[in-house]
Amino acid sequence: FFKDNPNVLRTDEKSLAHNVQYLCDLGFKSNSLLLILNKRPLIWKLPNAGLLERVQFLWNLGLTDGQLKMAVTTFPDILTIKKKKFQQILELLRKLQFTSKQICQVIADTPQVLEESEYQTELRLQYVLFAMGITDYKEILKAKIFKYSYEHIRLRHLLLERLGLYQVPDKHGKTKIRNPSLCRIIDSTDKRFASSCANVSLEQLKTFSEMLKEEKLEEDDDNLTDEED
Amino acid sequence: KKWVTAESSALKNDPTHLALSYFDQHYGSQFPQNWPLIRLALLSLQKYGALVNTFCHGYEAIERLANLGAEEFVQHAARDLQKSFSEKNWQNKIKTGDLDAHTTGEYLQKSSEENGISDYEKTFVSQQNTEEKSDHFVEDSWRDQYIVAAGFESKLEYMIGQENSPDDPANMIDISAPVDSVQFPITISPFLKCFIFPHGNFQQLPPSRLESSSGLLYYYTMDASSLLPVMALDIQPNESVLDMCAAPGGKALALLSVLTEGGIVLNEPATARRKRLLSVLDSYVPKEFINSGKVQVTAVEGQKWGVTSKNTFDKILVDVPCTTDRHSLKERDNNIFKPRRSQERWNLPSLQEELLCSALLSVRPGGDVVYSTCSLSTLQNDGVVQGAITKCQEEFDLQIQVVDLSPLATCLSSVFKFSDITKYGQLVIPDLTANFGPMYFARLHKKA
Ligand SMILES: C[S@@+](CC[C@H](N)C(=O)[O-])C[C@H]1O[C@@H](n2cnc3c(N)ncnc32)[C@H](O)[C@@H]1O
Repeated sequence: FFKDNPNVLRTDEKSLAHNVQYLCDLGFKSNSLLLILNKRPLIWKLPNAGLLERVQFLWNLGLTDGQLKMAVTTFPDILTIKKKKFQQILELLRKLQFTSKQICQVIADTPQVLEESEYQTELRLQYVLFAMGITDYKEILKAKIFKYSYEHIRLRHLLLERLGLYQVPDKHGKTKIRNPSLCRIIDSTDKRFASSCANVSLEQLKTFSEMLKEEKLEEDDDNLTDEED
Repeated sequence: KKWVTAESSALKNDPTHLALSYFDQHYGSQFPQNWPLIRLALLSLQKYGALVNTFCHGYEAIERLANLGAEEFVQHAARDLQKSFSEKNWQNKIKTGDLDAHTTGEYLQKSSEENGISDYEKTFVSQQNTEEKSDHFVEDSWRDQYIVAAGFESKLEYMIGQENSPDDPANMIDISAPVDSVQFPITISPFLKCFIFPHGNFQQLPPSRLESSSGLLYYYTMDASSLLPVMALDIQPNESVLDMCAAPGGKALALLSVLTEGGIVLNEPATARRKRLLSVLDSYVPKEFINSGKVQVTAVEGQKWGVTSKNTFDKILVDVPCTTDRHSLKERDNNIFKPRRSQERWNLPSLQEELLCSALLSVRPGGDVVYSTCSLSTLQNDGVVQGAITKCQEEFDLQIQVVDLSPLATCLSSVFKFSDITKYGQLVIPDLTANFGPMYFARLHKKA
């Protein structure tokens, strides 16, 4: 650790020790703790009070100890990110009609959402709601959509739709075929998705992804010329 | 932001949506394994080819295409094809020779010299129509096969609406009536050239430029599989040809580039479409050539040719109106799946059969007809071929043989994906890595 992070020797030893101690008290094992510290040197220098305040803030939001640990492990920046940005994202999630409990879930599962642009976050949710016709927020939470890029979500959906394996539910929520769950569509590796959901080869999935890039370029071109007309 | 996806955008009466659910119903059972992947390709970015305009003399445009990574595929296939025909020992199989051997042989020699291959064997006639062979053929591949006859489609659609099984044998016609099959070697004109981007390269072709010296466009952009019917027709430079359904004229341009000495009639009854054809000719073919008397544009219903011009042409291309599957999924305008056009759609197979019969009457004995569609429908493909052969045999006493096009398909199999479920013709099926087609083509030979 010291070899990789010689700068650590130059930080204030006392606040470092304090912070480490505090995180230990929260229940982080030394292994994951090292990993976190390794990834995020900012935490070394964080004033002790700042750290306490942030953790308190997360508790107040309603995060359980487990959720807190999950979020910090996958996204240590959650401890250092600017409060203002944090508030903005929370505001957005509320606007997008997530309940407080669901917001905690989002933060625990996909804390990355905190550093995404609001546009990107909204785009992904809207895609799932309107292009895919998913209405159940529980399903959306389970699929961890904020962990994946808009392109990832769009690609998986379009592939299935064009294969005839996904149908947008009609007004009454009905489809002629049985759609795979959102979670199986979005939250899986390429290999698993290709073989067990789309029933194509990994090669075909890659080809489709290449094709989609070119198709997007074409569409953008078309839109440009349309506007010129 | 608006979300437009293949299906979510579809209103109930959107013809592209109607087309898709129609295809799901019909092609799902026609291609039990492949349909999802064909569907995926049909709904994805199509690939094109650049048919080189032989009337241009410059090479800049072609060099530009090559620099972008495009590759010529026709001449490449031509070489493979020659090899495959000379490797097989055709002589052993010769039974009868009712082909016009003279002109074909001469041409073979000429084109092989041009290609720098001199030792090409000029033997080619092979027929499998001996008793035992054709029996064998029927038994092996055509037994227990059913195709719905022309005219039954509307009834079928009605039944499907009633949720009855479309497989009810009462509505099926046994097609196991024996049809002769025959093999001819195919030569490919050295003038036919087409550039495409290789597999997995999804680049789009840049629009063609004008050659300043001639004022003509360098290349015509079309589905590369559209050249296959033309290749299958195996036009010799001095033949007389009819293109019965010619507009907008992609295949006509390919035919014109091959026909250096013969003559061609380009027929198109629909006025607006004929205008398109004329403007395409205008942009690609020199005025002198159009006015040389070798090219004639006519506007009659295709059905008339068999009555007015019996036994006339050496070769006829019948590129019939069809459900144009890819177009029907993409474009709302002019879509044959518009509810108000259902009657017209239901009548397609019988119109197609009439046109093919007319061509079979109008071709000279010993001549050939290529029938083609850009649909996956067995009903419009093998079904029409079967129907027309039977009708021509029964009503007009014509002896029609199906020319085996599998050698052509084999040498093009690295470029196009071919279906293995056709009986008479070849069918290019759309595939993500080779997103051409659909294109069905069958070649019929009228016995002398
Ligand atoms: C598939 S398109 C031909 C495409 C053309 N061969 C090409 O490669 O560009 C079919 C054409 O047949 C024409 N057609 C329709 N009814 C016809 C008829 N009864 N006789 C001849 N042509 C007809 C249509 O107007 C249409 O232009």
